[in-house]
Amino acid sequence: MSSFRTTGIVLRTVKLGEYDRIITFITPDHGRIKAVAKGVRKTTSRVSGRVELGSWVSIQIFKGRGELHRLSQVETIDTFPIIRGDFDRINSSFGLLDAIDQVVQEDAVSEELMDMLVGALKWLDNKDHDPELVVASFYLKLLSKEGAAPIVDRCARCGDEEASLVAFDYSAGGLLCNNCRSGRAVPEEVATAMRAILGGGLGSILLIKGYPFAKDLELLATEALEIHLDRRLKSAKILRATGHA
Amino acid sequence: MAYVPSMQKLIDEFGKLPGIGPKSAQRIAYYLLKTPKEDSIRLAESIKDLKEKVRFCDTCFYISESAMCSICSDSRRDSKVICVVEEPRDVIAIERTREHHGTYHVLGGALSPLDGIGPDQLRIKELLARLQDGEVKEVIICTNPNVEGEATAMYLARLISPLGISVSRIASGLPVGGDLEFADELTLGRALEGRRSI
Repeated sequence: MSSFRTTGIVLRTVKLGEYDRIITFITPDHGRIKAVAKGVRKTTSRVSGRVELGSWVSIQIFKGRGELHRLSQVETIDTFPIIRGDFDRINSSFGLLDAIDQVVQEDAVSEELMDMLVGALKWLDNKDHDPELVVASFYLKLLSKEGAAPIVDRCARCGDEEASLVAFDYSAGGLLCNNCRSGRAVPEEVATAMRAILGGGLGSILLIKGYPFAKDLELLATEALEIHLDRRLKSAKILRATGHA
Repeated sequence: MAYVPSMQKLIDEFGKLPGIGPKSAQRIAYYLLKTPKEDSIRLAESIKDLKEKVRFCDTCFYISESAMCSICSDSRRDSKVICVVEEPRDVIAIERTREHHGTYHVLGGALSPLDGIGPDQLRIKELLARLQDGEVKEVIICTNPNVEGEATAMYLARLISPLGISVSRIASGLPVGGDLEFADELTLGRALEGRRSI
C-alpha cells in the first residue's frame, strides 16, 4: 500500500462506525481528499485533538483503492487557538470551510485555494480583525479566484464609471448606478470596501475596528457566492440563526 | 437460488441495521432459524416493546417509559443543577461516574453549521424554558470536547449567563492512564490551562 505526506486543513468530519471518522482535507497538491481516521472517537486517541474542523496539519496518508484513504500520522501545524475560544470566530471559520468545500476539486492542485484558506484562518485568528469582515473578504476573493468577481468599479449594467453606485445585484454583475438599480441598496462605504477588498486594499479594511457595515458586506458577499455556486451555503443559514450575521 | 420470502424479508430487515452487512444478516437469520421458537418470540417482543413503550422524557428528553424519566422523577436528585449533554448515551456515561447528582437535559446533538444543524434543530428552547422559573442555580455543559461541542457550549453560555444562572463547562485534559508524550498539543495545553493545586 503506497503512502504520501502532505499538509491539509480539515474541512469536514463524518462519524464512521463506532470509533472512526472520515476526515475531509483540502491539500495543496491533491485537492480534496478523504481519509478514515481509525479509533479517533475514543478518548484515548492520540489523533483526535489534531483532526478537529479547521485544524492545519501535516499528514501521512495510505492510499486506498477508491476515493477513501487511510490516515496514518498527523502533526499539528496550527490549531488557531483564538478562533477556538470565540463563538463568532468559530462560526465564521465554519463559513470559510463550507465555501472551500464547495469549490475544491478532488485530485487537483489546489495550492492557491489552500493559501487563501490558511490566510483567512490566520486573519480570523487575530482579535483585531472583525470576523464578519474576514468572511466577506474571503468570499469576494474566492469569487475573484473563480473568475466570477462582481464588477465594483463601474455600473455593472450601463458601464458608467462616473455615476455613484447605490445598489448591489450579483445576478446583474455587481454594483449598479441609480438609473440601473436592482437588488439591494448599498451605502457608499460598502461599495468602497468592496473596491478595496478586490483591489488589493484588504489589509486596510480588516484593520478598521467596529466597521459598521461588516454585516451588510457579509450578507452581500454570501448571497453573491451562493448565486455563483448555485446552492445555499448551509453554514450561512445557521450563522444567521445564531445571531452572527 | 433465492431464499423463501419470509427468510429474505428478515435478511433484508437485518441488513438495514448499522454495522450489519448482507453476509452478517444471513448469518443472524440462519441462527434464528435454529434457535427455539420462544427465544425468537422474546426477541420480537423486545423490539415491539422498545417501539411501543420507550419514549423521550417530557422534561429532559432522556429515554424513558413514562412522561417523566427515572432521573427527573427521583426526589433525591438535585433539580437545581442541570447537566446538558448531546445524546442520551452521554447521560449513561456521566451516570457511571456517580459524580453528578443533579438532573440532565439532552440537546439531541450539537451545533454543526456545515451539516445544517442550528439552534432550531436542537432542544435549546426547551432548556431555556426549564430555566425560566428561577429554581435552577447551575448549568453544567457537557457537550463533546470538539469544535462543534465547544461552539454549542459557548452559544448556550451566551444565552444562559444573562439569566443570572451559573454556567460551567466540563474540564478537558489527559485521559487517566495515558502517556504525556503522546498527548496532542491542544489536549495537553488545556490540561495545563485547567491545572489545579494539590
